[in-house]
Amino acid sequence: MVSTDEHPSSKISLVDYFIYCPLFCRKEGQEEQKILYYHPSTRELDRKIRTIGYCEGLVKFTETFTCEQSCESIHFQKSRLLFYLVENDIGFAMTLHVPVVEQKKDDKCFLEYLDERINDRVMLPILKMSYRYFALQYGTISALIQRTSVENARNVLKEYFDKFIECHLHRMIHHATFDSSFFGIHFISLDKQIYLKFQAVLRRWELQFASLNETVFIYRNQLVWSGLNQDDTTLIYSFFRLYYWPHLKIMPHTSTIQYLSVDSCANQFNSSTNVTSQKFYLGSFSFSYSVLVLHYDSFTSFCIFHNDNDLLDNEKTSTATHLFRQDLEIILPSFYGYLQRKHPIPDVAVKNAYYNKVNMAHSATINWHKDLSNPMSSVMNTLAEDLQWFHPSGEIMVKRENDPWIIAKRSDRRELLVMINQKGANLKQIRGNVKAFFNGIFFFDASIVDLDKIKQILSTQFNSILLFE
Amino acid sequence: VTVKGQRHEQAYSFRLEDKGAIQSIKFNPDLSVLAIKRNSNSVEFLNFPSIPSVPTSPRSPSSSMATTATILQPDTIEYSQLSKTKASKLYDFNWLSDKEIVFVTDLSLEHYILSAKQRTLRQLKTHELSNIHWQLFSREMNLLLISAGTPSGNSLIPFSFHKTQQQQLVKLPKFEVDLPQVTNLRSNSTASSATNQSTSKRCNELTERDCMLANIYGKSYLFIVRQLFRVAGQGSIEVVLYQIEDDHKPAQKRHILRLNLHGRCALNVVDNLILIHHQPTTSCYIYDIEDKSTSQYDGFQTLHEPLLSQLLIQPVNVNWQLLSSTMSTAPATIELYSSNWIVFLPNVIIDVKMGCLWYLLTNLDYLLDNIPDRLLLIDILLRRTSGKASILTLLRTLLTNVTAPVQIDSNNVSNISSSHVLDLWIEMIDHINRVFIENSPNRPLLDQSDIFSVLSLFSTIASISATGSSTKYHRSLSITSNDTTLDEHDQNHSLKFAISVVIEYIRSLNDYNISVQYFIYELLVNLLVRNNQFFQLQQLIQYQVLTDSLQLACLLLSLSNTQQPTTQLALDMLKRLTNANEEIVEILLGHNFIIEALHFCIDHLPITRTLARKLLEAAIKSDELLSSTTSNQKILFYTVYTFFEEYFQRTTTISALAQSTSNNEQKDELEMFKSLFNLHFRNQESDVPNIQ
Repeated sequence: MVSTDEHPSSKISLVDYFIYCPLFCRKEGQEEQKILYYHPSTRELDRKIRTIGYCEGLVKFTETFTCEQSCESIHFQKSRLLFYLVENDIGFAMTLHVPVVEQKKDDKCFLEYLDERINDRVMLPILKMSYRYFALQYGTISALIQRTSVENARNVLKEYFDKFIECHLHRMIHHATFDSSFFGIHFISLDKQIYLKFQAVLRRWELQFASLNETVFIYRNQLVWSGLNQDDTTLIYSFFRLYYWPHLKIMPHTSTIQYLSVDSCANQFNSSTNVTSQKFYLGSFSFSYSVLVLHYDSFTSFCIFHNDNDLLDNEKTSTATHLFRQDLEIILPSFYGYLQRKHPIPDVAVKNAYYNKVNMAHSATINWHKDLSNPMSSVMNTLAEDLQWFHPSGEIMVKRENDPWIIAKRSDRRELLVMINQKGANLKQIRGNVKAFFNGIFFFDASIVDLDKIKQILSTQFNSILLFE
Repeated sequence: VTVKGQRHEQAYSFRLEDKGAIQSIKFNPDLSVLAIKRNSNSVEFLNFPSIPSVPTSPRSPSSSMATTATILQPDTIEYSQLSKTKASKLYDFNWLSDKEIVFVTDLSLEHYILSAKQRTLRQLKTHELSNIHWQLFSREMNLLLISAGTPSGNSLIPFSFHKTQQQQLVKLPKFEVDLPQVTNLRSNSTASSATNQSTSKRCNELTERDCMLANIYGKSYLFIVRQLFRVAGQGSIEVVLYQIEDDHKPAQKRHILRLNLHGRCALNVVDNLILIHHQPTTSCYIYDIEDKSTSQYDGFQTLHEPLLSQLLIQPVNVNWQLLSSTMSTAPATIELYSSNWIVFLPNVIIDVKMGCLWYLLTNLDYLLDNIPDRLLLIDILLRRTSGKASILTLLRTLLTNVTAPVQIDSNNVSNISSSHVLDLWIEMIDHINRVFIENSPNRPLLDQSDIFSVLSLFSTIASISATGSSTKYHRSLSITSNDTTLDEHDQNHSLKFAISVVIEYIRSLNDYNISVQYFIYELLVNLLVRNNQFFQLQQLIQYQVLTDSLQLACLLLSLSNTQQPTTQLALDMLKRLTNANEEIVEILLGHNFIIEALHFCIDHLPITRTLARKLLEAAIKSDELLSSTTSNQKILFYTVYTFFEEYFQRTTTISALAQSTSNNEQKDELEMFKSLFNLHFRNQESDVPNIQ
């Protein structure tokens, strides 16, 4: 259906991205009304309408066959179409270009489309998150339309998504891996004493304000504490990774508390004493919260207020943040002492990616862009997708010619990919390894990885969690 | 001569023959021997039969005097001991223990051991000292203080003895007490009317009346009351505390208690608090020598100001009816701070005129209202033996400030912010736990169940806040919820506060390495669940803030019903416990994870036929469940059965020979499954070739 005008490329790329709402088309000939947003906007109207109409029809058609889940993706030879239906009748969709390689067969050049390079499980979350990021800042689209007008909503969407697609979406698609698809949370590894000290600081801070609901506290890019529920935490956390972390990463340690906002962090930090808060929509995206983002010495905290009352008094906020800083300064020496103390030597031969759906904990020692060749990566993606079929547990072990062993394992809500680079190991040995592996501690949730020697890794990992076999 | 003895609860009376005026009379500690001094160089002894143990009922000390006294029949034969140094004058004698007695004469200390049966005394040792003026003795402190040497009486020699390890009277280094300078003084001393000495002489002299021995915070102190006059008519009282140490160092001047009043005063020590009764103003001044806020250290000694001033003793209601035997007309009230009072350390007050003896007690709850500084207050209370109840009240009122501010008067401290309360809580709980860990005597130890009794007030408050989520609480609240108009955020806030308080308590316990008991965790988990903070619960368990335990795992399991996947947390916890493998299998089977349970059994449990039976039963049940949706062909049963069949075939060759009889019985357990298996699968297998 979607014939691509672009030159065939060996990379996955975004062809178009559009948001539509069928309700706005009452009569035939008004199909244009359905379009809330279309990227690229330069595309001729007729084609936009055709594409959207096609998606709409397809969703309706497939609904007759399945009662639980609506259709989420369509595989074409040259492109991949992904859908995400939100707010009952608003559709988000994007088309991806399927990478091609030139093949020669019988002295004839032809393009081979590598369908398996695009993994729905990897790409769909990106589409979903793109909507959630929007809703985080603007609330639901339907609420937006009700508050203002369709026209205004179109403008807001255009303004937001033009920027989003340009700055982030292309990159997200390009760098999408099995790992990134979780939008999981990296929990910091701390021991109980220090953790409780942080708790004390945060709770003292929280109780300073009557209207402060919750705090999300992040060290560098690792979550220390979140008072929000899991969904909101994931959203705020990945929002942080998307908008703040790239800037904070390169920032020197600062000794003052800064008030961050999305706009300001795009170019420069607002280090004035004026307290700036952003509006965020959390939970069901129906209620807006004022969020104060503080940054101090590698710590970022999102403070979610349910009204502005406390924040209007700049003086009070400054005093409170000052106290907060003092409290933090007290525990920082022991905290950094702890961080330096515990640095287990990672086993170079064993690499893994771990994800627990229960608490969204995610950690990985695999560097997907460095460690993996393209085919390896796609093997892993495929394995990860296959894991979804296991209930409650299952295990697959794969090895290609000269590649390392790959073990994909699912245990109830946990998923694990292990790559073992052990020359000449046969299936039985690997199996033994893996078994020992799962018996040991590998408590990534708490990230209390207590690996003394490389040898012990296999026998000691996964001690503290129960993995089904 | 009729003598009345009084010992705490029980009064005794006995009769003595008249043999002249009695100068001093003392029982030994177990009331078996009475020592009487009638002249200046000998002491008579009188044996008593052992006292019949009377079931004692708690009575107020003042009334017990009048109760029927037990009549004691003394031994008829008296025996006496003369002071060894004939020329010397015997001042007094002291019972060191039941069998040891020390005579204090003007020239020596004579230490005797008494044999009541033989009615003799044997001398142990004599310490020759010149010019003894007076003595102070305290059996509680194992201390005998002798004023000897210099004519002003300010050169003091302490002797210590050991209660259990007998026959030793150790001389400690002597020390001198500095006397107020004569030039600055005009005499108007406490006891000047009683003594015949001239007023100017008394200033230079340290007399027995101005000195007292008492134990405070486990240390022995000599108290010296000094009247200071800088301007005529105005003066102040100082009480100087000398610490008498056992380690052979001269006693040191440690503390000075200051009171800007003059006139007659008396001292009591109650619960390590020093009370100065000031007679002219009829009020008490309380000092706590460990309190930092009312004291300053000048490099040598610590100067103290009163902690609380101008207090009144709350009079005891004396049952005058019981006293009527001695008093014909009962006065309506007791005259407090009357001049007839004689005060003894540590806490005894005797009214000579009324014939009453009181024990002075402290009412700590009074402190709650009178010391606004809560941290100071908790420190003071933590130094009191009986401070526990007051501390609990203090904590409870503190927390109620936030959780139920409605109950507080508008003019009261209701505007105290929750963050402030939390700060106070953090400090207080640290202090409480420090005292708990130090475990020093006479301190209130508040263990986790005590604190829990305070924290449990959250359970009522939290249930108010839990709207909708639990109907059970809602019903009980239908009346109260009308006037408590807490909106959602306020509820959130007070729950958040409650959680913070509990977490801080756990943190404090951890800091002091006290292992947290389960009920504290349970409270925290319930609070979190009521606030729908499952994700926070997960985080806390991740960081092991909640220590793993079987109970906690069970609690988590019970919570997992309410749509939250706490099962994973519970299973992980059980795994970490390492001794809960059977529970894990049960849970897995409960979730119909048959194969997973089998795998787990293979690795973690000894495989027995009972286990096999359990798994097979579960597999059949699970198959039935599955067969309703899919075309399951008893695949779980097949898998489990084949595993065990193979396993037992492999092992029975060894074990069956050893235990053939018991195995046969157990085999029967599985017989049923065997036939079932054959019915379903063996037949089918045999069918297959037929069809082909």
